[in-house]
Amino acid sequence: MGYFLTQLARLAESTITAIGSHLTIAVGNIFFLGGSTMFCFGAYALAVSQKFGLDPWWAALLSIVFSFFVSFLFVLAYIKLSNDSFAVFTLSSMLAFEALVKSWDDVTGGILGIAGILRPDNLVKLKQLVIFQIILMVILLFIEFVILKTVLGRSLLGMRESRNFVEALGTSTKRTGSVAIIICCVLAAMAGVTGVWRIQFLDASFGSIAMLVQSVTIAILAAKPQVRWLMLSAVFVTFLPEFLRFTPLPSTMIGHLRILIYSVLLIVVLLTISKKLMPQKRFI
Amino acid sequence: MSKEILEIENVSVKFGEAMILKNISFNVHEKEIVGIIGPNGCGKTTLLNAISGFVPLESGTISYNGQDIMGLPPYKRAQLGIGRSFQHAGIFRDLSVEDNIVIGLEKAEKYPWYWMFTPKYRRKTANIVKDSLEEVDLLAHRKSLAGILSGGQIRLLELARLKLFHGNILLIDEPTAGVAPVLREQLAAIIKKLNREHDFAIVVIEHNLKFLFDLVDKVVVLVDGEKYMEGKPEDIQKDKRLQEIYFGGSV
Repeated sequence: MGYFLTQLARLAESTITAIGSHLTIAVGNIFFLGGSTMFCFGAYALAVSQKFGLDPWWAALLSIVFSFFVSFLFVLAYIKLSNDSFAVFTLSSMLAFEALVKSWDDVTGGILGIAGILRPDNLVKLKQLVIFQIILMVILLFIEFVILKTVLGRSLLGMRESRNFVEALGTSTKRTGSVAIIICCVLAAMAGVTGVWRIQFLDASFGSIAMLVQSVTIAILAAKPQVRWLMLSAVFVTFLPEFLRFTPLPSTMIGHLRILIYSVLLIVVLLTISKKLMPQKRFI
Repeated sequence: MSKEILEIENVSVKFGEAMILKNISFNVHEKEIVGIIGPNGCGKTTLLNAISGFVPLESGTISYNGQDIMGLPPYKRAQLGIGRSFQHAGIFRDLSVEDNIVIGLEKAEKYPWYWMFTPKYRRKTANIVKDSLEEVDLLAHRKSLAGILSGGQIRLLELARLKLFHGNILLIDEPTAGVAPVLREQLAAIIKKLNREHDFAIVVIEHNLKFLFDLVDKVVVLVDGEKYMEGKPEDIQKDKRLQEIYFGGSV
């Protein structure tokens, strides 16, 4: 039962993180790789707030509010940098954040991390938390479904093909992309909050490259701008490495092999089907 | 004489070391159709891109309705009222035909973000989409992806969307490119309608000279990034030197 619940929780966390990546990378063609940074940031903001005595729900709220404000750093980079530089910036943000939490011992506990993070009173049992995560995931998927039907969604879909065409209609692609990035950051922070409530321990290895590769793989595999594709992709990518548990491999290796599988999958997806699923870029 | 709505003065555009446009000047008046012709690579599309704000100017000024628009990004220029169609058709091939109209409509009409949850807006949108697509014989393709349409149908769809634009000038780049001859008359009729019934001034680039001369009030000829001449279509056709150096002998 515990294994089953943990897998459901992982599915919810990776799906919530991937919704943002889906909106930015797959729908808007904005190569934003800061999702995992914000996943970790959300988790740390929660853990630190709780460490200073805040109630878990208030800490969660504060974490999301902080994440919202931090997302403007990425927005600034998006507005100022070229596409390639922006991708590198967002990728390096994860390494910078990891270095920060490792070195800022007083607040983050350094490499030892923060233990004993409390769940809210009404989500004490793992089953309750997982139900909460699944409900949150369904709500957020519905919100993405709605976004795709709005002006924002249509503009992002237009940006997949050509930013110039969208601008020619009177829509600011910088503003549209910025909104997508803020949504991505806040959703990733939410996933981080629920993730850290589940494991109740946090150190610099939380999220990091594995979460980045996983969420990007889900987003790119679900290249079609439809929520059902995202869900299918999330289920496939989350459960794919689970076959390793039925092999005689030592458990310490399984974590590394999972990253390897995600990386190989990402390369395969990029080399093969992503070209067929993503629209051709158009020039004026 | 009607009011000048677009004034282009001494516009130069440079890509790296190459001067693409050199001191181009001309004006567009209200409800006027101006054709731009010239050999491939002479800077016609670059000129439209400069007016739309997609390429920066090296020197010169562009004013729209008396307002200097040099510092405005493309989307602001579009919001002011400069509509644009593209050489390879600015249609989103991954969106449905209907959504291609809606994406233009919701910006032109300044719809609120929640409009699709409001019956009033939904009804209004459904009616406009129906009328727009009916006019260009695309109603049957309403739910299809725009990418499956033929080159001519894509052009018609783009013009149907331009019709909804709230402005007074349209920049149309090669409307007949990749279009079957049978659809050209329909395209010309729609462009004339945009001009006469919807009061748009139009700047149109076109290689098909018969199509262009039947359509426009004035022609600007570009050669090697410079304005070679400007005048009425009949004067342009009479110019001997132009026939020799550009049209290969005769129009």
